[in-house]
Amino acid sequence: MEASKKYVVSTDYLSTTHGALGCRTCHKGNDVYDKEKAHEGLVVRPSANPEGICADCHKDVVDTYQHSLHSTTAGIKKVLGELAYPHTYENNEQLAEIYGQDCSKCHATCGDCHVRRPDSIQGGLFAQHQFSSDAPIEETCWGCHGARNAGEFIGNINGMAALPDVHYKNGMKCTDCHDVANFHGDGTPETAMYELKNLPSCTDCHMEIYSENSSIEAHKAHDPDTMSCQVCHSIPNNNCYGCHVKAEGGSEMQSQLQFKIGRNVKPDETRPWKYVVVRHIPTVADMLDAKEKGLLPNYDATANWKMSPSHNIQRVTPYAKDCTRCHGNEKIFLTEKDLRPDDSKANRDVCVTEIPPAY
Amino acid sequence: MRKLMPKLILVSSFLFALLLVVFMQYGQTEQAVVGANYDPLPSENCVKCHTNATAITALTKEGATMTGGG
Repeated sequence: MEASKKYVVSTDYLSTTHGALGCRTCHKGNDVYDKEKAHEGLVVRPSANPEGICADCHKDVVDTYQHSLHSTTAGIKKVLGELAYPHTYENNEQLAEIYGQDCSKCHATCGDCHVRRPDSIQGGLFAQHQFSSDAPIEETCWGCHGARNAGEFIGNINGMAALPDVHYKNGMKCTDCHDVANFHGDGTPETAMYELKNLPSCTDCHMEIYSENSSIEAHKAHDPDTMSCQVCHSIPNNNCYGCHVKAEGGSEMQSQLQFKIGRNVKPDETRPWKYVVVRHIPTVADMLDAKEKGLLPNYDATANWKMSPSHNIQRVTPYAKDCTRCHGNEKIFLTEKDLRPDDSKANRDVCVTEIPPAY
Repeated sequence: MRKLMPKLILVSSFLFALLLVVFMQYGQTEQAVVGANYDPLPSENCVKCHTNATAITALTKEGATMTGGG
């Protein structure tokens, strides 16, 4: 990416509230006309310190955000901790080091979403330093979630062209469905995505789909608890195999577009479905062996086929054109035949053992 | 009614003054939040370069293509 697309500041920005503070109020450095001297003591990411300059004016937001998954990466920490049990971050230095070196880098600062691109897409200012509360997906969300939900939503899975989500094609953005609390949190410490209280649901907008007024026969034929909307309305999602830890000796990662329906292993009031679309997560039992052998003794307790809230929704999909595409069609269900030798044994709970009968 | 008029005028004047004070206070608070903590540091030289795309290109060596994240 050209430097002018990363480091140029617009003159319009200088007259905004943030711009009026002056560059050095946030970024330090020196006001001299020499690049090296000007950048001595430069603070590239002023919002990296959660108690820093953003909190002086936006304390309520910063206080809330500090407990969110985007800030803490507690979701990754929790799952890695479960795989490593009985090792813990307190009693195993290697585990703590791995989390600190790799996993915690997914932490997003205020600036990562509101003024700059994430490092994974080479950073830099996405709108010449104008702050935005509604930044373009391609410049922010996609930078971190481009291999899965954001990539599938906009039809660009890490550079691979795909059919975009029907909502995106009709001009919708992440923030049209996701409340700000989904990004900033609500102030309570979060440890898993599905714990969030206000995640969007299709029925927030499509309220009539299961009512008597529905004109869709398939909606009338199925109980609302039978399956998630994605089972009929999503297309193949991106599945990653191997390991995404870039350590010497780590297994090579592969990705593959697939469509698999599995069992919902944790049905609850919000997600009561029996069948859900699933996605393979890139973990293998020996993925941390380069650091320490046997660091994940509890690997087989957590499935690496997970429920996928696939974001590539289409009104009509190949899998929902008629009853026979699903009923009696074992190929689209996750079964034991699909499991790889290095997969977690917990995947058996996700596998469908009784295929819905053909009519 | 004539007897009540002075009282009505007094009460309404008081309420008006009270509202005025509240609004002024609110405005000052907003200004205080933005400016109180900081005296903007001089940054004229930073601005000279960073608002000039030609200067930025000349002073920086970059040349990679855009890729996505995981």
